[in-house]
Amino acid sequence: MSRRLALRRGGTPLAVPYERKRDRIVLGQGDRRFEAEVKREGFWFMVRSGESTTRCAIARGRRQLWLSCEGRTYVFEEDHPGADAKAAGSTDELRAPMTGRVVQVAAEKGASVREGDVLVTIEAMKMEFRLTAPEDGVVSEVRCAPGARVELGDLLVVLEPRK
Amino acid sequence: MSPALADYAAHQDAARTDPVAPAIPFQKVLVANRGEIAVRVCRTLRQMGIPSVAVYSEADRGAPHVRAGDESVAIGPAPAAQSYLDPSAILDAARRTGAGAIHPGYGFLSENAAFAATCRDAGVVFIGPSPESMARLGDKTAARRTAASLGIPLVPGAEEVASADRAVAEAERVGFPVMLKASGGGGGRGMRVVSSASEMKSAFEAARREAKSAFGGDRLLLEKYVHPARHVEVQILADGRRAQALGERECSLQRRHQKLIEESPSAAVASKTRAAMEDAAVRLAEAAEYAGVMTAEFLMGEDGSFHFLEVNTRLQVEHPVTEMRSGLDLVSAQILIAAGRSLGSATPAPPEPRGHAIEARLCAEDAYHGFLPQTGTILMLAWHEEDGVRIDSGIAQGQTLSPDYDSLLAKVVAHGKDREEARTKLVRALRGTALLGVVTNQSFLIDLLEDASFRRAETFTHTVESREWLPPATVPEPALAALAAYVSEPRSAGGAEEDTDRYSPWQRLGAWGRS
Repeated sequence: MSRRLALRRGGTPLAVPYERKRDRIVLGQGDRRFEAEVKREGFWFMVRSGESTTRCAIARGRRQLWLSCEGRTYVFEEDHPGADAKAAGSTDELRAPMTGRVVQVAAEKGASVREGDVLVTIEAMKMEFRLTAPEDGVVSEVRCAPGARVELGDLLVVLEPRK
Repeated sequence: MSPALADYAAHQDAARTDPVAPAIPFQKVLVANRGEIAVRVCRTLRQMGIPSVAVYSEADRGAPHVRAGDESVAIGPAPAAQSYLDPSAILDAARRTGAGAIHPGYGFLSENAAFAATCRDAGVVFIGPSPESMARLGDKTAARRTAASLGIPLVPGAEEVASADRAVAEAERVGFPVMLKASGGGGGRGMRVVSSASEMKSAFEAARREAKSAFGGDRLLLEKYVHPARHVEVQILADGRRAQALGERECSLQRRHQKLIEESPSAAVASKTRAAMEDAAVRLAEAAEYAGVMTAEFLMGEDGSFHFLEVNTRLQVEHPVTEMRSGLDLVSAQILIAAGRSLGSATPAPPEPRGHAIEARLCAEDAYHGFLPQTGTILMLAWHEEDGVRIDSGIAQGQTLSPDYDSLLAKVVAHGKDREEARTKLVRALRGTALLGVVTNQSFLIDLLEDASFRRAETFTHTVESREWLPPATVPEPALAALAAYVSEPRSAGGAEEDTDRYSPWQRLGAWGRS
């Protein structure tokens, strides 16, 4: 029975067809195929293909699947209807790039700003990060205040691009 | 037992037969820090037979360092200023637990001369230099003056800049680009490279704010930005009268002026240069009647010339590199010196450093996207174990990382007979490590160590940030096969093919269980 890996990585669908027969996994179809025997040892997945064996670890987080292979970590979003790609922030929405604390808000509602102007400064892990205006425009909304804790992806400032 | 521990044990036996030395130097030591360094200090205390006290903020309740101490005390809310950086909270914890000495680790209060003085007044031993030594060397401005008085070459600059305007004037004198630094800072915080007068105002304010939040002081100094340069530092051990150099570490690979990879010896330091740097570092320590461990940092130009940068009056993050080559336990040496031992009795004769050691700092940050700090919950954690590989870790499976503290999670250090052996061992250790649930720089560290420039030892302070580092573009086929096996497992109930939250990650941990 053929199935499909319904996962996305960085918003891009993986959509890899595969078949499983007990421990045997066959990826792909037609000429492009990869066959392996996958066995579980503790939390490791031992993937044997031909002469080589690769060790992978997988864990499911609240929203994502995490996989570690040879020291590289890959994060996958589970692909189901209605799931939105992570809020990437359109050009006029400034979102928190990480969880942290707001140390300074230079943006004022109604103020005209130039591309590159610092609008909000966030501190996390003792480092400051400055969020700058992606283009010239007018600040139409300020959704944060100094001292506030913000989560990754929180909306901080809305910018109305200059026409 | 590792060579370091074997030497340490031999030295402990020698210390026990010392007729004037008490069996243990302190009845109890409080470790005023968190994360990997608190775990590491507790380990040595245990080996020395000294009971330890761990302290923790509300955010660190249940963190591994809390379990590393023989007892633990809550010291306040998550923000460091109200917990790990609060002198009265720390001293109060020492009083409550009857700890006679405080080990400050690095960062936080470790370079705070006022805190060291407060400890002394309170009758608690601060395991570190005296406040007087710290004042002469720990403050970057004062250290520049001390070095200048000893004829040690300095990076051109100004010891104190009170305003952005003043900074522009000084920058124009020595020439852009320049570096702004917090006088009382360390660990790369409160530092900004400024390449033109127009950038000065915002850089000045940012450096000041960062300095204030991280160190509680906002004085800044300015230095010419030396480029290209290597960062080379000398480890010193001193007892207040005599100082001893324990070789150098090269720490050129940095991002945001924070070190990522450190190694010893430096492939770029000739033996004559090493001797001159060690001599300068020893003279600095002796001039300040320094007691404890100390690091003198230098910038080295391509021609091998070096300029004094600053002194760190504390244990360095990268001290394991020196420990693995020398076989010494620097924390134990610190403790013995703080208890009044002299160099000869606190450590055996300086051992001839052996082989090559390289350390990689595993940090919770997205190296492929501007090194942005990352938080999250560690779903799975497994280290690679091998002879000659040392892991100093402050994290555990199930732990949620707080944005209130540094992003350093653990240090992976490898020792080999030469640089290439150490490098391959370190790469193997990083490849064999699995950490899931939080984005880290693990993959990037492998890229760096495997990069042609690192293999050729062409490492400069700008190397990391002058290039674009890309994440692996594709997922390797074995990983996809493992994924397919995972999602099609009956237990996974369709996994990614279904929208289900019925299975918590904990059920997937197999034999490891929840820690």
